[in-house]
This record gives sequence, structure tokens and C-alpha cells, in this order.
Amino acid sequence: MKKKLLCLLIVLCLVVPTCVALTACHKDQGIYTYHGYTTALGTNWNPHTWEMNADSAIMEQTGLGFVDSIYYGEGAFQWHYEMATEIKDVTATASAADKTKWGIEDGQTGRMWQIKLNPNAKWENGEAIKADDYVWSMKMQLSSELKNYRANSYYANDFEIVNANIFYNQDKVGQRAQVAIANEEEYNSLMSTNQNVYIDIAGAWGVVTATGSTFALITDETKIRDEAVEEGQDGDWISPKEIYETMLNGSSLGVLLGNSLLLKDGDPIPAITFDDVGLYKVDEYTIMYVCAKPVAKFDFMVMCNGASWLVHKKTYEDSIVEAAGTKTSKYGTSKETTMCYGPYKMESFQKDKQIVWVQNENWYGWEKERGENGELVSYITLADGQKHRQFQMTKYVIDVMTDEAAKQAFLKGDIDELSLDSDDIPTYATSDRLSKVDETYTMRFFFNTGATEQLDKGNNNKNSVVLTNKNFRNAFSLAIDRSELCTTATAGFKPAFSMLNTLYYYNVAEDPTSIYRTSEWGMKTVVELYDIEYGADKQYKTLEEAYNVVTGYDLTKAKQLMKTACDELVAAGKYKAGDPIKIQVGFSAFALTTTDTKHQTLMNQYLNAAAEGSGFGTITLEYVGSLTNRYKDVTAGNYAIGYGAWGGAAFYPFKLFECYLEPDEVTGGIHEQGCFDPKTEVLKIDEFTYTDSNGVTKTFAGKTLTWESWSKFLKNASLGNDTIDDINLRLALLSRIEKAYIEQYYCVPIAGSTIVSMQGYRTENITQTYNIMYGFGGIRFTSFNYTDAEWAKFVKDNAKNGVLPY
Amino acid sequence: MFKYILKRIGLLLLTLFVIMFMCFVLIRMLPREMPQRTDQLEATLQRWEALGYNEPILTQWGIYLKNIFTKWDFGTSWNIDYLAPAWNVIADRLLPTVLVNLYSLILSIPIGLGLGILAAVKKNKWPDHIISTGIMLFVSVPSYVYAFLVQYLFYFKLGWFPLKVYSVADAGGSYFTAKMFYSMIPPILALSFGTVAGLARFTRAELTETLTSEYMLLARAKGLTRGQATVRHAMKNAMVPILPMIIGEFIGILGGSMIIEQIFSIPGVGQLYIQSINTLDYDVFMMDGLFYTFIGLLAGIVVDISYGFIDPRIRMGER
Repeated sequence: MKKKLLCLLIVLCLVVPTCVALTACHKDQGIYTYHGYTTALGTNWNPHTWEMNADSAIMEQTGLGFVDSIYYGEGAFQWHYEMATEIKDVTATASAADKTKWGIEDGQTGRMWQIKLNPNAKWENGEAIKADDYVWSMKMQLSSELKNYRANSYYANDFEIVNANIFYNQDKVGQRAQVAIANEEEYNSLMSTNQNVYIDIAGAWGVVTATGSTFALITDETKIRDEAVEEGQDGDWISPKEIYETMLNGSSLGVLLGNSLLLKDGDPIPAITFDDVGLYKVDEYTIMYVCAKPVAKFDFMVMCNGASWLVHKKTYEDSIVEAAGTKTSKYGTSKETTMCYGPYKMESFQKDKQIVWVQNENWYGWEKERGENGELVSYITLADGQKHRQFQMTKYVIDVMTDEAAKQAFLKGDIDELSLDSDDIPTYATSDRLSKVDETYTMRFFFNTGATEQLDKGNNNKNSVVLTNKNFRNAFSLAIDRSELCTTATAGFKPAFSMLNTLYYYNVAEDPTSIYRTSEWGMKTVVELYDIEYGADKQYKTLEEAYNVVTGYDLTKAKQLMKTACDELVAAGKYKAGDPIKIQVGFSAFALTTTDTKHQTLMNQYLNAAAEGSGFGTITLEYVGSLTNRYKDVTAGNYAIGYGAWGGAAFYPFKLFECYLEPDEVTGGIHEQGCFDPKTEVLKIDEFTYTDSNGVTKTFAGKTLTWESWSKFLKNASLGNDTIDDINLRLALLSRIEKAYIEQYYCVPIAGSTIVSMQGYRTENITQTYNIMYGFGGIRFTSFNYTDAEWAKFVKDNAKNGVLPY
Repeated sequence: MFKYILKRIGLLLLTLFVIMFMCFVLIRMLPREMPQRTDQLEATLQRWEALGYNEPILTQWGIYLKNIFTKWDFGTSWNIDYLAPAWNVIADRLLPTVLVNLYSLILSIPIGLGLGILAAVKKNKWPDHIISTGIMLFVSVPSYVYAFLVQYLFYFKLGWFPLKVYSVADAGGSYFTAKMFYSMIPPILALSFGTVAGLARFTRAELTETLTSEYMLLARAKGLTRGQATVRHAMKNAMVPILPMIIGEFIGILGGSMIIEQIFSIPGVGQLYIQSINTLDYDVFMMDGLFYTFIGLLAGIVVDISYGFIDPRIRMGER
């Protein structure tokens, strides 16, 4: 009897809940729920400490910035004030006291920014957001006790606040900060008096001490592990003294001083209070942001776009804990430690599972009258003078799921978006729900030609020395049918023939249409690189026509160049005709996919087609995946070829070469370091004529500088007494440097990365044309074709075999 | 027996120590990617310094043990669950894993035993052939393959079950709701197929052997029916090796659920293991490793000891 009862109990346990759940009816609230997905949820959306993109994605939902760049008619954007009502450069009207206190020079602009706050802004709990909240939040952001990961956004870089760096280092009061030695005279004086001289080991060698210091005494013989060199190889451990001596022998004292690599003890860090920091309250609803260096209005507005440093005081204070020897706040790690101030607030958060956002009834932007179903509604007036619904979404559910699961959910109508991989793109290529968004990144092969002979000895490479020949590298580039490669072996990427794509704007503040790539100079670079002729008596009449036919693929020329390369290498005794060539490529940080294998197969086909009859043996590229840092691997000579992205600040293309030509700017150096030294190698830009921004034709006299100096010149628009006084000259110089850089063939552009996704039938974007300032309009302008109830019916009526036809 | 248990516990601790040390060293040998920006790098390195990551590995191991024994501090999560104690990270994720595995076991045991008994009783007849073929199929294929199939069939094609396990919010605020159980059925099924097949195969083999024993003949000769003899005598003896196997299965499916958890978005400890390696969240990896290793070793002891309880003739640790 007992056994029978037990069996019955087990059956009941299993069956009853199933039946109950199956009969649970779907209740519709008459709301617009947007279902998104992610493969990994963020864990820390504290604006002071977030680290990963997934964190930032959540942080951006917690509130709006001072301003938002929004859609304002087809192709146009507008700065729309949100948490602020006005942002004004008041440097010119600064009082004498302010000028003295903040070190503002006469005639300067873009130093003092007055931000008038939106008096209607509230936290989700209804508390008003005032100037004090912003000031206190910044005080926490820069706290030397908390040592926040994102403090550097305000104590360093472009938007550095006056004295923020000193405040951040208040735990080191009295200690001397190290500053650059100005010149040779000062250096000699310090050396002769046995005073401390330091070397910036991070800038010079890409290493830091065991305690994380980026500099060390030049006499310090403590060995430091250089991660760029494989353990057991020469130079795997190096001391600051050795770095100093090597740099001194390899370059010169002038170069070291010129690049601020030699340091001395500066003045002791003074004790200050937050009153001395350039972020202060003017009145209840006004704050002043004092920049350490001038910032252009457009750049400042970009900084003010998106969630700011604002945190809720009580929640933040309650979340402070001690970890790893320092205090830090757990603010923004759960629903309980999050306080929102935007149109949405967090309803629930389950780690690794789901996040749900619902309308925040305390957001200032909602109308007083609710919608038919009790939902909050908001409108905005656009360029057409019409009121448009904004933030129509009433609930936003983001679930964690695998890409495979997401695909099924999308086709069943359970989620409203889907990212596609390369295998899926052909299936949906003709769907009107497919959208491609260009990214600023250009995927390219890059070579370390300096280490190839060494490589053949220690690796599986054979005859990788061929890469030292420029004609070979040029042929390598011309042999690639980028169009086929992108279609077949990438996730919808677009062929790239140059380093910068159409997302780089050279003067966006003045002209939102100033795209570098499609400017005259931008197109000229590409057309010249691929030898396309144009003119009245040529096949292509205009520059634009010529630019549009560039494919980057020229098998005939590639074959000629291969032949020349082979002859040169054989003559130099570096290569024996007919010998097979095998080169490993540091290809990916992840395990190789089938798409990567297709990529490899096609590349081998292209190269061997070009090498046919040239005297070269079979060429085999062997892709290697799962590499932690392939850029360093190539620099260190572990691979002769690497593959990776190139990209930078879309609104400031002049700064782009900084990462690639100025080794001091990047920890660990740059990947091209292995084969050319931008600090010593020079580039001569010949004389050319250009039309300045006033329409006057002028001549640039020509100049020879090191590659690094060209980058600095372009970036700062000045170098010593030389200045670039016109945006069109700067544009022309950018074009000449880009062309010269590619013509070295140390890197070969292949594809511009894109994000290919599908949008469900349920929602519409306000525009089909992607704009870098607002995408397709974002959540603000996502409109819904169906309520939740209507959508369920739509899916039922339109699904074929339970699947929606896309 | 007591001495034997103490000895096994001692060996368990020793093995646990060795395995944990190996895990500790191996995870720290994986290369760490550092921030590119010098100022952020400084903040990261300062944290590493404070955590002792720049010390020699043996010193780090010493610090780790010291924190556990003096402060019961198993470290902090820096990536997966920002600033949460590693212990809490595991504890928070234990329930969904245990529930799915427990439900799976509850489902698998009666079905597995039932099919095994039926196959043994009907040996070399059509029910046996069908069951044995099914067993071979389900034993040979790994559980995550069923997971994909179950998901595809029951969600995508038939629409009977949800794509993944519901969140606590969607399920009504708790793991113990009918809605949550309903959403757990697909992973339960995926986990159960292999267990059912394994149990059925083992039961069939054991029961077949006991059914052909001489004492069964004696039982029938005494006048018992075939059913009475099977239940009262054959089953009792066959269960001696089967019961420990059930305990082992529980541990087995805990390990096997790592991939299942990913497929069905179950925020459990299996998924955590993979995450902790991918993000190099050292302390969470160690905590998760400790959990799995401890459960595995404990199961071994429990299985061994259970023999003695099931069959008093078996004496442990006695010469």
C-alpha cells in the first residue's frame, strides 16, 4: 500500500504542475513589450567602475545624458536637451578670479562650460536631481579612496577637469609626481648632480613594474617580465636600466626627451579639497565644468551625450564595500543598488538570465494624460513640425540565450531582433527586414617583415622571408577578390580598399556631411592607390566614377608583381625558385570557425592564382585561432602575419594614426613596431596644391618628417612653429599620409566590418538610413506595429508551420 | 566501519587539496589581457597588487588558503558578479542546477528501473529488443545532443514548451512554481534520456543474472509465482549494485548539465564554470571547482558506504 502511495505521489508531483502550467492562460496587458536578447548580461553598470560593453549597455538604459543626438529628419540630427536645458561655453566671460583659479589664458575658449540642469529631472523614487547630486557624484568618481576604474575619463584625456588628477591622487599628498625633463640641458644638470632620473617604461617599452608603475629609475636593475617576448627568449625579462640604455643607443637622447620618455621628480602633490576641482555648483540647477584644456563645442556635446557620472547618493553610499584593500561601491550591480532617471527603470534583474525595464513614471518627459491602456506616452516635435511619438515601448525584456536559441525564438516571433552570422546572411539576403550597419573598423592583414627569417627557424613557417619584398606584399593585396571574400567568408562585411571607411567625418561640427572617404581627397587616395585613371579623355570621366569602380582586385598586375618579387628574392639569395611557402597567420582571438576556414581557403586560392608562373612555389597561409593577443604576437615576431581590426574616433580621423604611428600612446607599443620604426623612419610628402576652405587655391610646399611627427602634426594641427591653419589642408595631409601608409604594404585592408541584423515585423525604425549620430533612431523612435495581443494574433495568423516568413 | 569512513574522509581532503592546487595553478597560468590605456592599466594593476596576483604562485596559494582558514573567505568575483563573495556566487546559482537535476533523477529512476525490469523479464522477446535498441541509442549519444533536439522539437516544431527555462520574474517570483517547473521540462527530458538508458541497461543486466540464479528456481519450487519471486527475491538482490549507481548518476548529471544549462539558459553552477574560465574570474573558478570536486569525491564515499547498508554481508575496510 505504501509503495502504491509513493508511486502515486511521484506521478502527481510530475503531472499536476505540468497540467497547471499548460492551462495557465496568457494575459495581455495591452502593452508594447520589446523582446531583445544577449549572449551575456552586464554585471556592473556603475558609471564610475563599469568595464565591459555589456555593462555599458545596461548603464545607458539607466538614464539619459545632458543631451541626446536624435533623428531630425532624413539624414539630419539635432542636439536634444534632456538632463540639461542649456550647455554654454562661458570661458570668454570668466571673471578674473576664475581665470586665475583655473589657469585660463586670455582669448581661450572651450574651457568653462556652464551646464543648466533640467529642473524637472527626478530619480525613479521621485527625488529631484540637483546640482549637488552632480557635484557629489563627481567627487565620488574622482575619489582617491575609491580609485574608480572610469575616473580617468575626467582626470585625464580630452575632457580632463582642472585639478581632477591632483584630487584623484590625494592618497599620495607630499609625494612627487614625475614630470617630463624639458631639454638636454636639464637632463645633464640632473645627471651631474645625481638627482633622480626616470624612464617611462610603459611608453618606451610597453611594460610596467610589478606594482603597476609606468616609470622607474634609469639605474633600476630589477627585472620586469616583457609579455611581448615569449618566455625563454632573449629579452623576456628586462630591467629599466636596460630599457634606458637600449633606447639611448637605438635612438638618441633628443628622441627620448622629445617624446617625454625621461622624467624627473616634479613638485610634491599638494593637498586640495574638491572645491579646488573644476566641477562645481553655480546654483541649485547649474553646474560648471572646467576643462583642463580647450574643448570644441561639438566634442563637449558628444561627451554630454549618454549617461553621465551621476549616481544616487544614498544608494551609492549604502553600497560601499571594502575589497582588494580599497573601498569601492557595489552601486549598479543589482536592482536594489540601481537608481534610474530616464524614461525606463529596472523592474527586475536576474544574473546571467534576464533584465526587464519598464516605464519610469517619474521621468519628466511623459504627458500628463496616459494612453488607452494606461501606458505613459511622450511626444517630440521634429523638423517637419509634427509631433512624433517617442519611447512607445512600455516594457523592454532582455533575455540571455545562445545565438542558436535566438534564431529559433526570432522565427517564432518571441524576440524582435536577431544578429546574423555569415551562414545565415544568404538565407535572408532579400528580406526587407535585414539591415546592415557599418562599423568604423577595417579588417586587415598586417605584417611583421622584420622577423620572418627568424620565424622560419622556430615555427612551422617556410620561406616567410618573401614578405620582406614590397612587390610581394603589393601583389598580395592586388590578388584578393575582396568582393567574393566578403560575400563568402565574412558576416556580411563590405570590401575595404583603404584604412578609413565612410564613417569618418573630418569636420562634423561645422558640416555633418563632411565624410572623409567620399571627399575629393579621400577618393583621390583610393583612386591613386589602385591606379585608376580618370579625366575627360579617359574611361572614367570624373574622380567619383573612378572611385566607384575600385575593387582592389587586379590579377594581371598581381602576377607581374609576383614575378618581379620572385626574381628579386632569388637574386638576393633569400629564396630558391619553386620552394613552397608556408606562413602562419595570427588570425583570431577565438577558435577558428567554418567561416574562417573558408577565408583561409579563398586566400590561398587568390595567392596561388597570382603566383602561378612567377617562380614561387605553392603558397599556403595557415590561420591560427585562440590567440590571447595576436597584435603583440606579431610585434614580438611569433607570427609574420596578423589579422585584425583598424579603427578609431569617427569624428576625429586626424587622430587615427596615433595608435599606429605613436608608440608612446599605446601600452605595449604598436603592432607595426616589429618591422618599421615610426620614430626614426621618415616620410616625405611632396608639394601639392589644394583649395582652402575659402575657395582659394594654395600650395603645400612639401615636408619631410618622421612618421610619428606626421601623426602628431596631423593630430594637433601644429608642430613646433608649423601650424595647419585650414581644415582642407589638414584633410589633404590626412589623405597623403593614408596613401603613403598603405603603399608600404605593411598592412593590407580587406573588409569593413558591419553588423548584420534582422528586425522583427513587430517594430519599425524611424529611418532606413543608418546615421552615426543616432543609428536608425534608437529606442526613442522605435514604433510598434502591434500591441502584445495583436502580435500574438499576427504570429498565429501568419506563421507557416509555426515560423514567421522573413 | 567508523575507522574506514574517517580514512576515506582523510583521503577525500587530501585529494581535494591536490586537485584544488592544480586548478589554482592552471587558471593562473592562462594569459591575462590588460587594458590598453596606461591610466586604466594602473588601476587594474593596483587591484592585482592588492589581491596578491603579482606574488609567486605558491605565495598566492598560501594567501588563498590563509583567507579560507582564518576568515572563511573564498575570495571575490570581479567579473561574473561584481564584488560578490565567491561563496555567494555559487550559492545563488545552486538552486536551479539542483532542481533541474533532481527533477531529472525523479523522472529517470522509475522509468529506468521499469524499462530495465521489463526488458529482463521479457528477455529476448520483442519488448526486450525494443528497449535494448533504445538503450543503445540513448547511451551512445551525449545529452547535449538531445538538448538541441528537445529544444527544436518541443519548442520550434511543436510549440509545446518554452525555448528556455523561465526567469524567476517570469515564473512568478520563485523557482517553486508550476510555471517554472513547466519551463524546466525540456532540460529535464534532455538530462533524463541518458540516465534512463543507463539505469535500464544496468537493471536489465543485473536482473537477468539474478533471474537465472538457482535460488530463483528454489523460490518458484516453493510455490511462489514468477512475479512474487521476481519482486521479493530477484529485485532485492539486483538492487545491491543498482542503488549505488543511482547515487553516481546524480553526480554524473550535475556535471553533464554544464552545456545543458547554456542551451536552456539556466543560471546554474555548470554555466558558471565555463564563464569563470572565459572571464578569468579566479575565485569563482576555484569555488566552482571546489564544489564539483567535493561533490564528486563525496559521492564516491557515499556510494562505497551505501554498499554496506544495502547488503549487510558487505563489510567495508575489514580484512
